[in-house]
Amino acid sequence: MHAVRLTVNGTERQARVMPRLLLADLLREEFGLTGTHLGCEHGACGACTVLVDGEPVRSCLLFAVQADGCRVDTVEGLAGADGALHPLQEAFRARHALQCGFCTPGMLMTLTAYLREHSSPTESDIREILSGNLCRCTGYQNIVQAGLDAAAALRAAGAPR
Amino acid sequence: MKFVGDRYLRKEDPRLLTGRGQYVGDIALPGMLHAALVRSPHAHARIVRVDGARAREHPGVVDVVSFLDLGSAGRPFPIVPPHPELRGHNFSMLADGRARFVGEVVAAVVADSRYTAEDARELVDVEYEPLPSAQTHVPGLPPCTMTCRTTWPDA
Repeated sequence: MHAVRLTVNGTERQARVMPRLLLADLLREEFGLTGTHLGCEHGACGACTVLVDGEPVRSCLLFAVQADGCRVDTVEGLAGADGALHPLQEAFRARHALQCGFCTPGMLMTLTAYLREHSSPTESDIREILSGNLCRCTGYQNIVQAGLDAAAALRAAGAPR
Repeated sequence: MKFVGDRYLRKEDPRLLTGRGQYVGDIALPGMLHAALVRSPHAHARIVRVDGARAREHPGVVDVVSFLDLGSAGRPFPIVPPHPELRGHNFSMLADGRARFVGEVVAAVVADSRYTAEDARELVDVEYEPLPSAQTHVPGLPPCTMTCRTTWPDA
């Protein structure tokens, strides 16, 4: 067993883990953060996407020990402390960019990282960056629109969150 | 009452958008066990033997279950509702002596964790006798030259 220490959504967390424990299982089972979903469990669907030191990663392909000492951000940390939805979450809601919601956390985390560095994406840019996140119910039209809306909202609000 | 043509925000979206939804995989109950499924690598095969002895000895494994262990729980359930124009087929949850497609579930390993269950799955010995399989739809068209449903009249 290995001791790991991570900053998850701004809070320092520690655990003792098997070397092979996946980051996704650490988040979901040890820390109770079940907003990170496991779909395909082999890196194809993107549902388990979280940010490690700001970069989107597949938490089903990363061992927990690899994230030792890192900052990890999950969907649970997107909304404000007061519960106010992030502009990206607002845009998803307004655009009906989700049905069952299973792929949504991965979509949100991928777009969060992208919009931080790309304030004025085109539709084609959004489709490209979401090409690694599969949705099995809504189709992608509204998700892409929500991404564009969120970019506009973040630009209007000044610095992207 | 007016709904058609109006936009409505869904009540469930805030929790789904903030990671507070609850899906089956999120449910954790006291004493809950985990299963890993053994699946057929063959499109069509007779299942000669399912031997879970080695897997059962693996620490943390509670049981290995194949069709013969199911008893009354193994009774078939319909996959399509009865309909005069459709030929239905009843499935049992584990393959009953014959695997009819790649990926059909042949056995389940039940253990104290998903990791343990998947480890032990590698220890389940299944002996198959591969049978001819249709690789396109053509052998199944009239005149049918191949079927895997022995109860059908034109089998």
